[in-house]
Amino acid sequence: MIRKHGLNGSKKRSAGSALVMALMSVSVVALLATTVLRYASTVSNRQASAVDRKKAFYLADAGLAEAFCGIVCGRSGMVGSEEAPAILGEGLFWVQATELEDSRVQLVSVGMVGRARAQLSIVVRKGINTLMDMGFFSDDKMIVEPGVEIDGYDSSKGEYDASSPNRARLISNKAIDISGSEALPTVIDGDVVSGPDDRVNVKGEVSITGQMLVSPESLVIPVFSTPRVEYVDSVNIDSPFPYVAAPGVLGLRELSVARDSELVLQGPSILVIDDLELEPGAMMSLDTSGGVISLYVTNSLDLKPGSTVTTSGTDPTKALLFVNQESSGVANLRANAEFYGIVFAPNTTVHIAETFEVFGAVGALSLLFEGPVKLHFDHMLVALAEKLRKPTLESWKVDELSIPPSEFSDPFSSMGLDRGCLKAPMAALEDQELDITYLDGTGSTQCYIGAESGFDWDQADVLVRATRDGEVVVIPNTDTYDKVNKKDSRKRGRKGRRHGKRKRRSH
Amino acid sequence: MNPKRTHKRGGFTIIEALIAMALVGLVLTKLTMVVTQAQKAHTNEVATMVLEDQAAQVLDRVAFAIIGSDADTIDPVVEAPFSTDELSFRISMGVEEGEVIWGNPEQIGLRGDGSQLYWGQNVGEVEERIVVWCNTVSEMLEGELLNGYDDNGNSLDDELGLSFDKNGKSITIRMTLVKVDKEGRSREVTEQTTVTCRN
Repeated sequence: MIRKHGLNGSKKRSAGSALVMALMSVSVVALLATTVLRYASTVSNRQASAVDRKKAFYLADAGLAEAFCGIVCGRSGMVGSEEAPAILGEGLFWVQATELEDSRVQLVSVGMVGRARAQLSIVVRKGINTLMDMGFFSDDKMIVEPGVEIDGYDSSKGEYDASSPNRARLISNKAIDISGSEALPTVIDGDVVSGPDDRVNVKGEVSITGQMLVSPESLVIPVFSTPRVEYVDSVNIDSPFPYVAAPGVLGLRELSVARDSELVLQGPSILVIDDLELEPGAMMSLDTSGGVISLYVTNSLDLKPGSTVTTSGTDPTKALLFVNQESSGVANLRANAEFYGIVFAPNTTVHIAETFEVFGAVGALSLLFEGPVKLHFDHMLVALAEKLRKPTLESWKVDELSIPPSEFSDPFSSMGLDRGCLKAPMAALEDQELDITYLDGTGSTQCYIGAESGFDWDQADVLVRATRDGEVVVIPNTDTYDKVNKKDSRKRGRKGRRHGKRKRRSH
Repeated sequence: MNPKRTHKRGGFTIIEALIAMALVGLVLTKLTMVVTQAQKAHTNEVATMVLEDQAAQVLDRVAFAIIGSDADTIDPVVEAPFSTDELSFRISMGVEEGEVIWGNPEQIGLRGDGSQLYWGQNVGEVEERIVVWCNTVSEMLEGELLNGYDDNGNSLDDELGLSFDKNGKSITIRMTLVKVDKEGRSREVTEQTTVTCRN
């Protein structure tokens, strides 16, 4: 019994040690496995976070792209909101649009995926309608005197050439009366477009190489603001030595140039002058070799007969003459000039004498031709105006790119959102009040006022005019002049045109 | 209850014990070898993973630093087959009163013995800020030799461990990180990406 007991006791000790060894082995293996797993998990989490951060970045970038596309189509740029963001793939985004000064808008896009969050922002300058591609435009009735010669050319293809195939554009929101005589025949090498309720009236020896059209809608004259500058003083130049206004910004209450005196303006410069007067025999030279000269006249502009105006270059976009009177006024362009530039005077009656030859474009409240005026529309401005209608990106920056601490592994849970209720990016664009005039498939003018979501863009064959929340929509390729041509073409009833029909849709 | 039988079952002969010990030794040796190899493989894998992870993180930092810059402010402008190991740029801070506000000049490049990748702001000025993002950059990009040829077939000649080349508004960033282990074996990881300057 003793031996048996001893034998049994030995067996018991042996079994216990094996258990201890086994437990130790299991513990070591478990410890090793845990360490490896923990390390692998840490690395995996870090890599997943890096991937999420990238995804969030691209989601926010996609939001900016969507908002930018919206602005191109004339919309506000808002896409979704923090409460109801747009869903895209595994994540979501929303874009907040804030209007800034000078037709700028700031877009802030937030993208979220997994635990990551990215915030990007851009500043966009909205497209502007300049009317510079309208050629010679008058808001009021236009009277074209006998002997007037209006044609077109393209400065991007060389200097002015009377035989250029480029045509001029003569457009008014009212009637256009054109007269000529045998002694002074009037020649318009281009199209003439009257306002919607008026027509083009031709009398006597008049040659019009283009079409005489009626616009379906009056053109809206764009508003521009005069730059705010500090006025220094009034200047009266009466000296045999030229007065040189160096490049920069200058504000003057009054600037007058006496006989045999010369004023030289050097670009790049912005000049704001209340009253500008050139006496007979005076001279004003615009030296645009260094850059653009923008001359704003806020009260009276009088370039008297016998005075001289010169521009150093032939690029009309380098010499810009803005007349921005608070109430309707008069501007006299009676100097001797070959003016390569753009004149824009939305509140002003502009008198152009026969001695003032323009190479570029003129837009005014009223255009009055004094004698056989010569005007040459530069077709290069059409491309430029088109470019200006498109929004431009001015600034892009990363505001935030982070993994904020969150107990949730996806943004839907952390923000308490139901994935099924969220809209796709295109549908998440802000719904705005739309006021639209358009031509339908039959060429009839139609109107719609209401929420944009309720408007079927397929009905609009040609967009005539549209406002969103009261703001005129500027859309690239929406050249009113072209619209007029399109409507006219349709009226002429060309069959088989439908295959080439262009529809404008909301994006 | 047979005492003789009980005695026989109580022990082993010396031969049995020796055989058992040899077998145990063999098993333990094999086990040790397997564990050692697994450990080495694991160490290698972890080291490569760490290096890849580090390379990816550094490349992301470089890319996100450059992406907000104005392509026109990038200096120097180097196009393939040439490349540079140092880039200066400015990023946009937004628009104020109609003017784009540009940040202080920033720089990314190599310093020290060429193994430190740094990001700097106002470099060479009083308010200079330098942050080293990585200190394991290889002398040359993987597969490249300093011989005037494109040895690794990436269309660049003699590019260093960090290289930038510009194509329009896009910058291609290439980087090789290298780490030498205790046994003197080097491990290389190469990453590359192309970013388009958004301003």
